[in-house]
Amino acid sequence: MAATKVSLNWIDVSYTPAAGTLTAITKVTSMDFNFNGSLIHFKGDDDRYPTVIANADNEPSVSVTSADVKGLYSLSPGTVCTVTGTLQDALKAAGGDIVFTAVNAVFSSPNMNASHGSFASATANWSCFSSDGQTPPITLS
Amino acid sequence: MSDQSRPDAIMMPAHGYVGDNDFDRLLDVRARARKALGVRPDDGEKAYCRPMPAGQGWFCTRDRNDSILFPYSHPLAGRPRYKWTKQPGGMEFGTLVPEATMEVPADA
Repeated sequence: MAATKVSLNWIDVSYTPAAGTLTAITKVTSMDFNFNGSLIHFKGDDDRYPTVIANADNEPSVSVTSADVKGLYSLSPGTVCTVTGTLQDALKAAGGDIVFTAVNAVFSSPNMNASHGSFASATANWSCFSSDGQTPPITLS
Repeated sequence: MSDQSRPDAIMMPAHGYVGDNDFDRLLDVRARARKALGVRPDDGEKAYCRPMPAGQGWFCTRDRNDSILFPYSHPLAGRPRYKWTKQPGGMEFGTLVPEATMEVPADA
């Protein structure tokens, strides 16, 4: 079966602290790998519209939302990790999965949503740095 | 493809991939990177592809921790880790410079 080109659900989500061991994150309901690129717009003289738009800043980040609140609250802020997750082909066709990986991902803080009468969930957030200032820390494979 | 003939890294153009949509083109990027890097999936290898900002193409390697330049934690910080050779079709093959083959892995 050829890849459907439609993705459904995250699998194999994990984080690996530097000099640590891989920890699987299960009960994942949402995940986001974001390049967070921002643009600056130049206008001068009598310009009414930007004449140059440039990408001058990128602040990549990763977040994972899971019902495993305890798991996501077991990391300390400032921990440097590699975070990975696989966005699965909707019909599990071979070659249709995309693996996202973020290296140099610094754990900031989790937040929680635990309302009365609802399943609790937590969201873990990482901000990523580049080891050389030029190489994007988020990869697709 | 032997280890000697495999490039350590590749730079691929931003455009020119086959597909009707971004997802298809992404799969084509990955397929071309796997082929050019001589990835051996049976050995657990992957092609880690990084979209470079400002349409500068894709930087792809078999190690997710690779960087284009020596990292800030290295004595050669800011210097290129690869010697680049142009290939037909706009691709460039990167070979690690001798200092990079002896380097201590980065912290993360």
